[in-house]
Amino acid sequence: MFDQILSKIRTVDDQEKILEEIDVLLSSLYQDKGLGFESTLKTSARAWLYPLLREEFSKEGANRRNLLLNLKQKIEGLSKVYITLAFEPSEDALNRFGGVIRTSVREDVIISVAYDPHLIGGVQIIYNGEFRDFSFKRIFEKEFENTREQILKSIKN
Amino acid sequence: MKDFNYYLDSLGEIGFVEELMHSLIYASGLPRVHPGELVLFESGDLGQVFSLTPEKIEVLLLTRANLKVGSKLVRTDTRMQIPVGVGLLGRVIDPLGNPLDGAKLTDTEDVRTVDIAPPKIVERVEVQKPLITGVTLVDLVVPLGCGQRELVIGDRKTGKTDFLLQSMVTQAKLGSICIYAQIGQKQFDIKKMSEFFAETGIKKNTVLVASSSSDPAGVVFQTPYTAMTIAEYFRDKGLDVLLILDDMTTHARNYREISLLAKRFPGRASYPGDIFYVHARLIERAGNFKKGSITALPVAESILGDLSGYIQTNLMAMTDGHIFFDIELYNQGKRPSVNPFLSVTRVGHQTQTDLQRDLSRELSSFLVTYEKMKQFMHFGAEVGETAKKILALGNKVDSFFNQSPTASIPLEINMIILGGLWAGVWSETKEADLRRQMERLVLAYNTEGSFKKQVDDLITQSKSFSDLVNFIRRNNEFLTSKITG
Repeated sequence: MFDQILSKIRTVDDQEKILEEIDVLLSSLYQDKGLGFESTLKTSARAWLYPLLREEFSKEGANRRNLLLNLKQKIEGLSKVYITLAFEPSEDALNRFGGVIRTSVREDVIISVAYDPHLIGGVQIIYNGEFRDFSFKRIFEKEFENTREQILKSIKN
Repeated sequence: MKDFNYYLDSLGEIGFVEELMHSLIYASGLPRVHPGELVLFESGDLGQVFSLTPEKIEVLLLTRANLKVGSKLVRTDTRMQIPVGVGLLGRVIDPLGNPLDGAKLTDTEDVRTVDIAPPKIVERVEVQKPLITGVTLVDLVVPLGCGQRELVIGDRKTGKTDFLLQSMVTQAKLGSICIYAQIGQKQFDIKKMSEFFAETGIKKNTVLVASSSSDPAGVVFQTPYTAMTIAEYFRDKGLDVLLILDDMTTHARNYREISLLAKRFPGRASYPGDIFYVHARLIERAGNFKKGSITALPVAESILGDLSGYIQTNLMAMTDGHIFFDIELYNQGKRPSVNPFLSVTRVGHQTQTDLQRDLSRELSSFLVTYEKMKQFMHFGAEVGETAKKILALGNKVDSFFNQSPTASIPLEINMIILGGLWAGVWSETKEADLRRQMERLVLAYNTEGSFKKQVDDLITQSKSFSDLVNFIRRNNEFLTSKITG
């Protein structure tokens, strides 16, 4: 179950939403003598999450609280890759980015996407405290630093 | 220090502020940061890595930052460094090396790391040269040496700072470099200190490193280390340096505040467990070395004369003696209020000549006898002639030791005056006239070349204190002519 759930979480937003839902489920575990949990599971958990949780809870000896806490711990432990783009990506673009990152880095990473038009193009990536700038802004700045004198001369002329 | 983007590009690491707790920041990221390293925030603020855990970095802020959770920071791959050079003389700087007196720093030829390990034993040399403070009681009874670490301890408002300033003025006029570290003090006091240096004409030989009580805790913490680094620069130039750290109890309280905020386990009196190490690694950087010397005078405040306080005893353990300023003596009107019985100098006597040592011994012995006589008098008993003489001489010695905070008296004339007291030159003089006459002698020594030569020659020729006393007894006109003339 855990792997299936984790594979559905692609971004930091997804992670935050799932964690909220898990917190709501945890707080409803003992409401109405345990009956409140069932109705909360139906109304609060998202469509793809509900059947997975349902199946797990119906197994013999399943401890709902421990399962939810373990799930919460695993979701909180997901590594994050922060990417900053010069445009707001579509759903399709997001899926492709996620796929590439999971293939190149790790399976259990999620991405946080930020938008900064000053980058012009390209991407800035932050992962585990490492920062890499592959944006056009950096390339242009470096180029301008090298050829500043020439450019200023040609402008004056 | 370059800008944020430079370090981001060159080192390729970034961190994010996760939690803010007054002067401490908890951040994530920066995988290769090391303790003590400087970090730079996106806003331009500076911090120093205080400690590391697998998940978080604890950063001590060095500027008054207005940060938010999520703010970015980068490593600088450097430890705290300050510019050093002759351009620091006459200037007032903060612990980060920034000038506080307006103008930019010039003539700073080098940059030095602030927190370094103390020199090893191979580089050290025995303390041999005396350090003249110009304060009679200290120079005769509790003498200091160049390279000694002597704790100056006493209650608040007992004259400790006056003594330190007197010592600074004397040493600056003798050519030593004087560095005064004001740790977490009032801004007005910092200004007063700077003006004092200018008024006394010693500014060109002094550096004032100051942090005010309103500065960030990290800045106050760094103050004595910065002062020591500057002292080491001048020591390496072959000079003798006098370093005053005022005061280490404030520094300890500041470090306690930082440690408690960082949730370190509180030890005795809520001080952290490494408070001794924090001070010892600083004090041990002073001493007498092959190139030059750093004489450190750390200051500690006691409460109601209690020398057994935690920080006070720590500092006593790591210094070569202490000068105790007694509140009771201060209240009796004694200035300086140094208690000669509770003050100790472990390496000062080895710098003295045979005559000085003999005089010091004789004087200390007399003071003990005098003190016993005074206590005996409390019982209202009849006193014999010997006791009366001791009490009379003791009163005169008290007058001799009483000294204005602005006066700096050379050791040689002090020795002659004491010899004169022992020889009975002032046996019939009233106490009201005694001080005035002594001052006339000091003035004559400072202004008349012939008298100065006479005194210096006499000191050089006398092998013991009794020789000196006998000579003065036989030839007291060379003194009396100056007193009455």
